Amino acid sequence: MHYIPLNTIGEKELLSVCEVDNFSDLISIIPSKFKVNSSLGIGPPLSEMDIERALEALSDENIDGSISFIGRGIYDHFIPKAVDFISNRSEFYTAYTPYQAEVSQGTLQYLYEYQSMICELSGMDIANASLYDGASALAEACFLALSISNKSTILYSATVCEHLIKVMKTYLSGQKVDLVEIPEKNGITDLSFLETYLDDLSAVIIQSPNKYGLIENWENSKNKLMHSEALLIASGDPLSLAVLKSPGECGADIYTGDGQSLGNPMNYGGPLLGIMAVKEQYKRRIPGRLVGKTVDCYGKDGFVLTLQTREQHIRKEKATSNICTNQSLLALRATIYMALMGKSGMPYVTQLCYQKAQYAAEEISKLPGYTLKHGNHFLKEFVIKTKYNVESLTRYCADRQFLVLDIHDTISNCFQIAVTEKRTKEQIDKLITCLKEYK
Amino acid sequence: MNIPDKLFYTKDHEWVNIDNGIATIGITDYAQDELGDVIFVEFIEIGSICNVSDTIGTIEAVKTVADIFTPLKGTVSKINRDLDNNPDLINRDPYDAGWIIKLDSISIDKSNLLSANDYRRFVQ
Repeated sequence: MHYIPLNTIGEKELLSVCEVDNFSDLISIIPSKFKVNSSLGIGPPLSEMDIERALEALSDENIDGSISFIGRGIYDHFIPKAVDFISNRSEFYTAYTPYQAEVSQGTLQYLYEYQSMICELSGMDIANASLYDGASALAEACFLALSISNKSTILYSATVCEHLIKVMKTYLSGQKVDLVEIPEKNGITDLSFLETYLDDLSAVIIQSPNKYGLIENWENSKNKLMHSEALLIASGDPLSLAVLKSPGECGADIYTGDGQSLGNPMNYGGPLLGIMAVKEQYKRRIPGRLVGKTVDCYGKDGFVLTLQTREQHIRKEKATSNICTNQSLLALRATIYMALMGKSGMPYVTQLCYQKAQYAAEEISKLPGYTLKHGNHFLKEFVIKTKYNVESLTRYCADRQFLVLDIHDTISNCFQIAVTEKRTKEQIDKLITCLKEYK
Repeated sequence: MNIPDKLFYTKDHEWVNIDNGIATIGITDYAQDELGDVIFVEFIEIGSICNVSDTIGTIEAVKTVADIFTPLKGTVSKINRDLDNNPDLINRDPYDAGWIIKLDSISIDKSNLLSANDYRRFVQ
């Protein structure tokens, strides 16, 4: 596609065809309350050199070389170089979405492998070829639940990450649905709350490990729903599934998660990778693309897009979702990561995270003025309560290149720490010293 | 093309057999041929009350989806569960083993229905 810049002569020609004198006449039909009256506030045009200088100055404001102990959905995990190397091959990296899908057997094959690995990891029957991110995947799970039941209440735990809830609420804003929060008790979902809502319940959303890093009980949640038709939507970090009992084993109906932890960089918060997997019985309702494996007329293996009649280009307004895209490049990276790490590597990574996080929590809670807010049923993330002012404490740590998450606006006097396998004992000890020395 | 004389038809290519107050509904030989291989059939629930032109189910073929409409008012009394595992019965035997849904408590308004001859002319 060519980029055709607009010049004055061209603009005049276009305007004369439309029989108006200037651009503002052309858009005069738009009510003024919807228009930006002043300029956009981005200043006058700059030369290429000036732009470069301006952007460099902006990027110099980044905190470089800091050590991240921040989590809540996006984690600083190690990414083997092979993930970059393979995913940067031009066949993968420059390819746009395959409209004539079956011609792109390579793309379909890795998506099929991605789906198969996600199924194995989550214990679910069917995974789609990915969605935008964990948050939109969760919202899509709600659409799916609502399309199956004629009930209109969805309960979500107070321990689900806030950014997921916000996106979910935006997606569901046009739907006939009551979203109700399940309160937490000492950092864990209070499941006794479910009983009062069973009659009109479409789905329940439980995240594990939850926003505080604590492990929730999907199995108990599903058991509570035994006599209702409500679906259990299990949300959570896929890497943790290498050691936790899988959503499938716990009886979850839908699993959603964010695949950033599987070989994808933090990307300043995005793009991320939306993972979604369901029980077989929902295969005609799951949104997004599904790749299937078949044989051609010579009996050779081949890959196809399958069950496309679910999708909006065929089912139109009756489709469960209007999603028809996927995060293919990030799904590819997740596939390479999972293939490289394998069945022993992924649990090992998670065990390292667990051991290092437990060590950090134990040592920090030994310091005067710091206690562990909840129990030690966490995997790689935990909340610390302190007697100090959290805002200035986290600033103090950041100035010494240790980033921890200030959460005092939701829980007073608390901050949160995530420890991945990348954090060395030396780094953890330095963070502890930093907290110890703060006055 | 097979268009049995004893049945009624609709412009949406359903057939209706009315027998003893029970209406059996399916799709015509012409319709199944246009759709191609049927791979899944979805029904509305037994006991549902439907009005003329309501959707009573959905037929999925490999590359398309078609709604099934009822040409008469009634209550869903039976659905063809054989189609769950053998949806291709609609292709192989559209007027018999491939029936889709049965309605009782029907009220018949023949203005929505075509005779076999009218339908034959309609599809030609």
